[in-house]
Amino acid sequence: MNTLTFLFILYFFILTLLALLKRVHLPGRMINLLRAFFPSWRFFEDLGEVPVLFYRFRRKDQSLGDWKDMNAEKPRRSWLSLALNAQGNLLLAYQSLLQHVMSELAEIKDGQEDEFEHSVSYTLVKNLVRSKVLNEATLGTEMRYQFKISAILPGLPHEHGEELLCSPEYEI
Amino acid sequence: MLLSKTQALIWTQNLIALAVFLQTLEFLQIRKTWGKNPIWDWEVIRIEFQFLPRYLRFFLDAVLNNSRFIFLLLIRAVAAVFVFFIPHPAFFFILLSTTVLISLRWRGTFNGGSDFMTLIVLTALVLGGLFAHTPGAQTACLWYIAFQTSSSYFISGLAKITKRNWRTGKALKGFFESTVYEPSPVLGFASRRPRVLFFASWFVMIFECTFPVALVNPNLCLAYLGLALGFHLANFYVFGLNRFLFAWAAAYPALYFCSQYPK
Repeated sequence: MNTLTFLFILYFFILTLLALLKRVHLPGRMINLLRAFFPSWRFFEDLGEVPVLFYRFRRKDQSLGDWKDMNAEKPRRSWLSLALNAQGNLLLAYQSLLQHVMSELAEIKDGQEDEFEHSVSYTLVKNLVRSKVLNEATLGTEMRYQFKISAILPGLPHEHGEELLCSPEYEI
Repeated sequence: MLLSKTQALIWTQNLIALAVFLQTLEFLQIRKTWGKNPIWDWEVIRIEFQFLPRYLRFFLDAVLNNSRFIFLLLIRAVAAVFVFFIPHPAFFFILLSTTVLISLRWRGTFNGGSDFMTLIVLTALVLGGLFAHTPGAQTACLWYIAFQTSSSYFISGLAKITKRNWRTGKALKGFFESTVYEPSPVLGFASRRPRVLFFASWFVMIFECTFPVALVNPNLCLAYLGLALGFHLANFYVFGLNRFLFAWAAAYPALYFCSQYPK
């Protein structure tokens, strides 16, 4: 066995040991912002609850409509988007934003729930819902909207989800 | 077919330039989400950077704000095109730094794994270019890419195989059902058949866990790269992960080059 083979085996042996260790969550805003430098290769590791965003809106003189699932209109797959899949990747970025919210909510300490409404993640979700409502609603009328995020296990109907947060009504 | 170090580097450079160029075009296509009245509003996101020194915040404000972010993307696209004709380390440095800045604009990463791999390949090319006259430096950079690539499959496979849901095929069914795309007949067919899910899950786990074997010899490497391309195409079909295909493809010449080393 030459040195290269030995190093090769040693490297993957150490990697196996490290991969089998329990994952350590490193808190801190800086670590999170620079996470592109700390690759995590544990793709699709396990089934878990996924966050789903619901929203509803109304004109000022009307009552709120039914909750709508943000991802209700699922796009069709197309091999043409192999090179450029901007819309598909945008939907994945929305999902990643909701995952962000879900993990931040899990870390909130008792009594600090109200502060979350001023967080960056919450504001970005609010922007997302506002842009969705602006796309759907007739402009020129005073509009109000509300949103909620639920955690749902894949494959289960949405009614089985656990509500993580529900926003107050906002004006556009 | 053997690949020399120079050929491996040229292929890596061109493929990562293509990946970065396509990524940049995608960002330009979703301009309404970061431009005027955007979802990812820099005025909101910049709050997270308060811990940085003032001069760094000033720099980030200058390049990442809603109206100027387009210039960063245009510079990135132009640099990616230049790489095809003049593979100067300066252009790779531009691609690397703009990739880091874009990741910051999306609070860490935009597309997770594909951003990680893009950064790994670009970092290796920048270092390889800077130390081009140091004996062994470029070879070391190719080895770095090769090890990171095989580690990516290996760790991903290992993480799956330790989970019961993956070993029974249940996890795959769940992931099929949680994609952002409309249900497809092929996935519907697979989801209703536990045996198909079971074998597909084990195929993925065995392929990923044994991927480092690709480094053992070039013929084995070619076989694994063929499987890997099919794997990424399937991931694109199911989950829309097109960026992964291009980012990982950029790493394959390094992997193939390293598989030729006598062991």
